[in-house]
Amino acid sequence: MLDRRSLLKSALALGLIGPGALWAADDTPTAAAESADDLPPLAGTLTVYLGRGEGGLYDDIVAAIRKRNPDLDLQIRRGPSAALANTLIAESRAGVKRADLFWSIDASSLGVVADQGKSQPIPASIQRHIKPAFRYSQWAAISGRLRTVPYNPTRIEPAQLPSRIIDFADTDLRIGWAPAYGAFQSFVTAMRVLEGEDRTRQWLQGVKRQAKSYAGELGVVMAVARGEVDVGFANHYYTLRLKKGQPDANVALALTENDAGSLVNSSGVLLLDDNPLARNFVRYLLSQEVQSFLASQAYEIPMAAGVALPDGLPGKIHPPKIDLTQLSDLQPTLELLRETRVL
Amino acid sequence: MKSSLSFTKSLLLGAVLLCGQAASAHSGDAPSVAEVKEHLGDYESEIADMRDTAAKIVADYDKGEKVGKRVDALVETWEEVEFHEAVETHAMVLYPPIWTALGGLREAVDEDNAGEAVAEWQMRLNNALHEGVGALKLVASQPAPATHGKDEATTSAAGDEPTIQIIKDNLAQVVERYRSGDSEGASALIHQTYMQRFEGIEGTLIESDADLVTDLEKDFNATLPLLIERSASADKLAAAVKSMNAKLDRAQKILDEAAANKPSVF
Repeated sequence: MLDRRSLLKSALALGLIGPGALWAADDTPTAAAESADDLPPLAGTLTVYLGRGEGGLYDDIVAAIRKRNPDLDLQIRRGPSAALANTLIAESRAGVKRADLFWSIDASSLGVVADQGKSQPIPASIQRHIKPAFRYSQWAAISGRLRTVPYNPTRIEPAQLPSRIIDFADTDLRIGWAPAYGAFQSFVTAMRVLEGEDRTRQWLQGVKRQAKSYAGELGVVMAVARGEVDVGFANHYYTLRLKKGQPDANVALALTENDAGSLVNSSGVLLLDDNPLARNFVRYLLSQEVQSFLASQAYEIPMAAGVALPDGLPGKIHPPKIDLTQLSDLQPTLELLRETRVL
Repeated sequence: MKSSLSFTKSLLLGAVLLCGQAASAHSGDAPSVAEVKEHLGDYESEIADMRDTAAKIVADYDKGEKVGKRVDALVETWEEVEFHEAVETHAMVLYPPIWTALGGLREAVDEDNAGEAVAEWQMRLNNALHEGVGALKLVASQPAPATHGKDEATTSAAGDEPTIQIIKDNLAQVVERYRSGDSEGASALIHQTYMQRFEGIEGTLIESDADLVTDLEKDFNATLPLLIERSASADKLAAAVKSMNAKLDRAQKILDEAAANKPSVF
């Protein structure tokens, strides 16, 4: 008979469990992030397909790894994540392997490649350094972005905010959102997966009655701070960055519980072969130094255990249980947004 | 016929937009647009040879010959031709279909009595090669995009300088396209530039000047698209881009200061 731990372990090994409410309290054996000083030097040739999207941040990490490892011949090919995923599949189908690693800010692109059986399992020696709720068998989570509810504390008491995202449609709060924004669309996709299409449609129709649209999610957060709307839906880092530059801005963060409103979407890495150099490269990405850099400079949620979260996050995070690779199913979301005239 | 042409145009446009500044993974010697233009004839000759080879392979398969190794050789040819790197660099969207067709052909010829499937993959290969060279012709016909000639991973690490320049160059191209009547291409390039370039640098800017970021977000997502949608004059679009360029210059100063104060990773 399987006990809870064995069951969890098996499910994790199969990649069945995504981020769950276990994040805050989990007894799965976990090792703290390694220091780069304890990692072997990287030497040899390594080809990485790197999805574009995080601008200079990932470039800084790549440059730092190169500088630290002068014997590493690191070949980087950059492009949109979805295009790189298609390329990897096509190359593989033709019997050609050019890349050792696929590093993407978009878990769904990783899932597309992994689903084709093109990746190697992430070894336990690497998995044990990743927070248990974010362990997947076929890819290593590197850093995450959290969905949040920014609110204006001069207008709203935290107690007035629903703890479930679905209930925002039944309030009289003035809401800001950015429907054309990719992160918002991923969030609605997660809602479709978790709540079903009908409830998501009703939610969109309900919120639309009291919503104001903005071009981007920073615009949403700033509208909250100005009091133009009471609350908004946005990724966490916009509020944290705004507060860094303007500590007195009238905006604070709230989280919903176990639903799409607190989705954590993660960047990650696929191992495309069993090259030890590729595995060690992933260890660098999960090192204390790189993870702290991601948290402090980009406000990303570090996926390595024992690394401090970015300053300013509200206390307890309860992300939903969802396979992040399902977020690639965007077309029905776009259709729903158009049908409800949200887009 | 019209719809087919339109589809091909969209496909080619997508390829150009997605891959205008891709860097080579192998030698750092990715062909420039000027080199693509210069070598178009070579590419056409290379794909003609590949198509002839594929046709002979398929004909011999139909006669009952074992042709698997000849498809392997065709794959090797594809890996070596100049056309390969040009498509990989400048038309990435059309790169996977070529591999897919070669892989499909390789699998199909291992089966007996699979003439229909073999012919299907041959046709897909021919189409993919044809579309690839078509995309390169389009690349060669456009004003030169901002390639900056270096691996993005190293250039941007130096302080995001190229990203702002790429954005400005792309916006100049938006105006050029709109002026020449290509509204669809202009709109697509605006969206692409926002998603693939501006979003990558906005984080650093927010801390110093959040209003500047929301202004630019509005420009990318509302001002420019609405001018195009309402068929405004090209001069009006150019004026909006000029105003954006001034904001981008301010953004560059902020990025430079941030780069100077950025802590090291290790």
